[in-house]
Amino acid sequence: MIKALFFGLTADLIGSRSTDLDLKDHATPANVLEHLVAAYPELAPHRILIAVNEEYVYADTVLHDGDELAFFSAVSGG
Amino acid sequence: MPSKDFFELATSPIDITSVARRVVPPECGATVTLDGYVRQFTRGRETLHLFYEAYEPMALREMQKLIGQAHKDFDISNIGIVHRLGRLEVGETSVVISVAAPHRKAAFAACEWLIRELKRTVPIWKKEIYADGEEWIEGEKDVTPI
Repeated sequence: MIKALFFGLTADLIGSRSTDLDLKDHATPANVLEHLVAAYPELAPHRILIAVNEEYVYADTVLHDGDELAFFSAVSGG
Repeated sequence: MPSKDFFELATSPIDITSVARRVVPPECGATVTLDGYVRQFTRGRETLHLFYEAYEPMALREMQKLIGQAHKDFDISNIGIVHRLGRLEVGETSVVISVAAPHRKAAFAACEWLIRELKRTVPIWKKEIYADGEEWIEGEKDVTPI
């Protein structure tokens, strides 16, 4: 089981702040994002950043059971 | 000497002077403090208020990383960073960065680097609320994983 978190724009577009995912072995954030964009086409025009366990990762990073995955738009603090 | 660095997320107004004073050690001669606040007009459009949201544990980790990197790259002593979250009115302080250094030049350079990197890497998002709608602001720069 992997927990996926959404923030700001992605949370609004998906209509949720988190969800639990059962993934196949060797699944990557890119696989998850592909499903998300298919289900929520409003995400497509946006650049989505990815974090696993509170660290930025590349989309092809292999996920492991218990990981906390996060999807969010380019940050805009300050 | 123990470090007086700190990094925090705040949900109530930030006291700029107290942030600036907390970083001051005896060997320093200058503190540069950035007071970032809510702008009323952006590209001609009027903002009524702002809302900031963070991925809080990751935001704190990224702030800590920035402080660590700044210590490697600049001749500075202490750094304090406080970012506000939630609803902010026009003119209210959203972020304070204070950098104390033996000499001012390094403090200015480090403060500039810290705000630039904070805006690029720390997972905080700003929603602008206008008279005729609202919009999550998206940053422009890429973040390459380390």
